[in-house]
Amino acid sequence: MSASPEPPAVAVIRPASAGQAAVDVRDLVKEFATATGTLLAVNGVSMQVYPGEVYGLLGANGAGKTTTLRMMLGLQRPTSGTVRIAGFDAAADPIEVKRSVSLVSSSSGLYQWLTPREIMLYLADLYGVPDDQAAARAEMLADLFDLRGFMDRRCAGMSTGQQQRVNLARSLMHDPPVVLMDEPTRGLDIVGSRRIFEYTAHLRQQGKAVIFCTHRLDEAQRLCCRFGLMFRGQLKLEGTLAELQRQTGREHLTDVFLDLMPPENSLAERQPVLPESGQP
Amino acid sequence: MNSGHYRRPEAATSAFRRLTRLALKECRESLRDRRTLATLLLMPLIVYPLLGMVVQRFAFSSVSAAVPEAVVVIHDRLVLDDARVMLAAIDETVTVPEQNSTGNDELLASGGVNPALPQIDLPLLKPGAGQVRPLLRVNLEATYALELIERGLREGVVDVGVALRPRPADAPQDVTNTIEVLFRTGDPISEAAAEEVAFRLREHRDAAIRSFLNRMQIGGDAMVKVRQQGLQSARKSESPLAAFVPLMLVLMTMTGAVYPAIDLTAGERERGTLELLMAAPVSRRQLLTGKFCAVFLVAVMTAVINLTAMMVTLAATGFDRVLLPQGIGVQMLLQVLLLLIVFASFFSSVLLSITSFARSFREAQAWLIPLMLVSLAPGILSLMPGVRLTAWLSLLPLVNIVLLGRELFQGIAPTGLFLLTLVATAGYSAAALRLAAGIFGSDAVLFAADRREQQRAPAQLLDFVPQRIMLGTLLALLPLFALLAGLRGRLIAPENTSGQLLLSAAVLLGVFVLLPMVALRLGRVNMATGFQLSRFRPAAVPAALLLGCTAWTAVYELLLLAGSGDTVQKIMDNPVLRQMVDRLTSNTSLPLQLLCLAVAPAICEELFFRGFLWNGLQSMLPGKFRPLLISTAVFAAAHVVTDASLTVERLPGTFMLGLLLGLLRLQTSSVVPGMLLHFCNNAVLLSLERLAPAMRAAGIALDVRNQQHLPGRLLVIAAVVAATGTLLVVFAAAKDRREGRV
Repeated sequence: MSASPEPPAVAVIRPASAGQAAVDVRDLVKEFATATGTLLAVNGVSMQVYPGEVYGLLGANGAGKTTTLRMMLGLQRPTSGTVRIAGFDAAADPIEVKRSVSLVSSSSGLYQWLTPREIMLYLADLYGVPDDQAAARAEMLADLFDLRGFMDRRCAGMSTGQQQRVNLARSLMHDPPVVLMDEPTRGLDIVGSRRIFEYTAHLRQQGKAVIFCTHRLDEAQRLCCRFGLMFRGQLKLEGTLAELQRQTGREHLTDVFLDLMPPENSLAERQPVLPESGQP
Repeated sequence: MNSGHYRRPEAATSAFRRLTRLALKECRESLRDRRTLATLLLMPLIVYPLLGMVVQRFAFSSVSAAVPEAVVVIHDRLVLDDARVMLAAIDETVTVPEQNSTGNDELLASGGVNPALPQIDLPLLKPGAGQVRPLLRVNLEATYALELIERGLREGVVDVGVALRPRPADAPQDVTNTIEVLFRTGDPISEAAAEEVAFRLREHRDAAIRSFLNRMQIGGDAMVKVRQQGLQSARKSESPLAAFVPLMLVLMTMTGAVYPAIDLTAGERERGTLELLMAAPVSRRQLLTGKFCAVFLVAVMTAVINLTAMMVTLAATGFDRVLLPQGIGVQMLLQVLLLLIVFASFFSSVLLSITSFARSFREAQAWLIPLMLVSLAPGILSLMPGVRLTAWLSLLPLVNIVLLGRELFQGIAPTGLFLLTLVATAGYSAAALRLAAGIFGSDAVLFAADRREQQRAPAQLLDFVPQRIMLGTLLALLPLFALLAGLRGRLIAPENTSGQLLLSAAVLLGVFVLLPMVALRLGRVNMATGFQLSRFRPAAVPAALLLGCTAWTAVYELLLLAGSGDTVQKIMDNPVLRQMVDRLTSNTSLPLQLLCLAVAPAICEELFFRGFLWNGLQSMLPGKFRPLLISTAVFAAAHVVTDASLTVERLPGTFMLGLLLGLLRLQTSSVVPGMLLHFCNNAVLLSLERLAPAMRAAGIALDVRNQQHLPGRLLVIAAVVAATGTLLVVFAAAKDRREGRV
C-alpha cells in the first residue's frame, strides 16, 4: 500500500469551492415504537461530509451511530429527514444512493466457498459494474491489497489477515465516492488495525468521503479530520479537534466525550454496605 | 487508480443477465460445499441399495418361510375316515394315509400335533387377496371329545375343530345332522382356517348331492359347479407399500434442499455477508430469486438422482413387480419427474421463507425440524390404502404430491387432477417465494436483536407480539388442537352431548386463549395489546351486530355464485357434521348451544386469530393485508379439523367469514366488534331451523338443501342491513383517521 501510516494532519480538507458535500444528512430522525411510546434512536442528526474528508462519528454503544449509518446505507428508512449521498436523494433514488456507498464493518465476512476473484466479480455484478471494467478493477485491487498469491483460492483456507484484505478490496470494487466504516477495527490485532489505518489514509488520498464510526477515541483522533459526538440519538458536538478543544476547554477527546455523559456516581459511592463479619 | 468520484458505473447488465449471474454465484457456493454433495449423491447411492437389500432379506424371506399352520382336529362323533374324505375330497392331489385310533389324552399332553403321527397338509383352495392364510394341518391320528376340542381351542393348541351335532331323535324329518366348524374368535389364523374348512365341507356336500341327483336322474344340472377363476387385470390391487415409493422420493428431495436453503439465507447472516447484500443496489426479490434458483437446482438434482437410484434398486431387487403394477415406463418416469420438479420448487420456496427468519444455522435447523415433522403427517395420511386423490385433496400441499405420485406409479392418475396438482403447487411455490422475499433481510429480521435490546432496557412490557412467540405458540397449538378435538370423544361419551359441548368450549378456551396467554406472559408482552383488546368506536357495536346477522346470506350466495353449490351440499351431507348437528339439535337446550357454539368460539377465536396471531404476523410482515390473508387462511384451516376428521368442504365458507372478520378488525383496530359479529353469525346459523317457521310466516321460505338461491325478499333485507353495518364501520374508521387515532 502506498499510503503512509502517519497520522494525518488535522487540517480540514474542506475546500469551499468543492461545494457539494458527498454526504449530506439533514434532520435525520428514526423512531421505534415501544410500550412507553416512541424511542428516538436518532433524533435530529444533521451533518455534511466532503470528498477527501474522514469524519469520525463517535459515541457510546447505543448512541445511535449504527442506526444513522444504516439509514445512510438505505438499510433502514428514516422516520423523517433527508439523506443525500453523492447528490442523490435516498428516498427518491435509493438505488443510486446504494451504488455510491460502500460499507466496511468488522462483522462483515466472506463467502467461504468462493475465491476472492469470484467474490469481487459477484459484487461488481450486484453494483452493475460492466464486465471489462470489473475484471480490470479486480486486477488493480489485487495489486493494491497484495492479493496476488491467493486470488483464485477459496476463502475457506485463508488467514484472518488475508480475509481482511479481501474484504477491504471488495469494498472498493464499485469505486464508491463514499465509504462508511462501522467499528472497522473491532476485534483486530495491531497489524489488522494498522491495515485499517492505511486503508483509510488511502481512501482520503483518493478523495473519498469517509465516515468512521467508532467508540475508540484514540483511533479517531489519529485518523479523522473532523468529529461528531453522538449521545442518545443526538449529535451533541461537531468540529475539528481544535474546534472541540476551543468549545469545551478540554484538551483530550476523551475528556470532551466524558463531559457529554450523564454524571454517574463514582464506584466508591456505589459501594454496597456489607454487614461486618464476626458480629452476631 | 483514478479518483472516480461520482462516476456512475453503467447499468449495462440486463435484469435477466444479472439474475443468471446471481443464481450462478449461489449455485457455485452450494455445489462446492461438500455437505451438499454428500446429501445429493452419497445418500441415494448408499441408502437405496442398502434399504433394498434389507427389505428383500426380511420381507421376502419372512413371507415365504413363515406360512402359518392351522391345526384341525376332529370330533369323536365323526368317523375319521369320513371326515378325511370330506376334507380332502375336492383335492385329488392329497393322498390320505390309512390310520384310525383315538387318542383323547395325548392331544394336550403332546402340545398339539405329534409330527411323527400321520396327518394331512391341505393346500389352500381359495388363495386370499393379500392376506396371509394358513396351511391346514388336519390331525388324522385320532378323534377327540368335544370338551377336549373346546379346551384345546381356548388354550390355543387347536385352531379348528370339526364337530358333529346329530339331529335330536324327536326332531322333524327335515332337520338334519349338523357339522359345526369351531374356531377361536379374534384369531386371524383360526378364523381363516375355519373358513377354509367350512368351504371344503360345503363343497363335499354339494358333490354328494350332485352325485345323488345324477344317480336318481333328476335335474343334475340344478347343482351347478361353482369355481373361482382369477384373471389378469391391468388394474392390479395396490400394494400397501406403493405409497412408500413417492413418499420416500419426496422426503429425499426435501433433505437435499434443506442444507443449501439454510446456507444461502441464515448462512449469509452467520457469515456476515447479509448486510453487504442488503447494502447493494439489488432488490431483495432479485437476490432471493437467485437463491431460489440454486436451492431449486439442488433439489431437482436430488430428485433426479434419487429417482434414478430408486428405480435401479427396484429393478435390481425385483421389487418393481410388487410395487409398480405398470412396471417402469418412460412416460410414467417423466410424469413423476415433472411432479418432483414442481414439488422441488414448492419446497424450496417454503424452505427459504422459513430459513429467512433465522439468524443462524442452528436456529434455522431448529425451525425446520417441526416443518419436517409436519410434512410427515400428510405423507402418512397418503400411505393409507383407501385414500384417493380428489379435486380438494389435489389442492392440499404435500398430500397432493404424495397421492399423485402413488397414482402415477400405479398408472391410474387422472390427467385433470395431475394438472390441477401441478398448477396448485406452482401457485403455492410462487406465494411462498414472495413471502420469503418479504422476510429475507427485512428490517424486522435484520435488526430484530437491536430492536429488542432497545426495548428491553426499561423493564416494560412489549406492545407487539414478537414473531418467535407467535410462531412457537402456533406450532404448539395446531397439533394440540387436533389432538384435543380427537380426544374429546374419549373423555366424555358421545351420547353426553351437553358434556361434549362444554368440553369443546373448554378446549377452545384452553388452546386459543390460555396457551397464548402463557406465551405472552413468558414473552413479557402486554396482554391487552397482544390480543388487540383495544378501544373502539361505539358505532362499531351496531355495525358488527348488523353484519353478523347477515353474513351467512352473503357467504351462502357467494358460494352458490362461485359454482361451489355442491360445497354447500357437501357440508350438508358430510356425515361427521351431519351427525354432530343431529346430536346437538336433538338433545341440548338452545342456551347451552349458544354458549358453547357461539359465545365461546366468538371470544376465543377472535382473541387468537384476529388478536394474537394477527399481531404476531404484523411484527414480521410489512403491510396490512398479509396479516389479514394469512390469519384468515389459518382460521379457515383450523375449521377443517372437525371431531378428529377433516372436512375440507368447510374451507371456502370459513375463509370468507374470516376475511370479513379480518376486515372488521382492520377497520376498528380491535377484536371486540369481531367477537360480536362472530357471535351473531354463529347464533343465527344455530337458530336458523328454529327461525324457519317465523320466516315462513313472513313469506320467506328457506330451501338451502337443494342449492336454491335464498328468497329475493330475504336477500334485499340482508343487503340493506349489511350495507348499513358496512357504512357504520367505514364512517367510524374515517372518524378515527381524522382524529389520528389509528
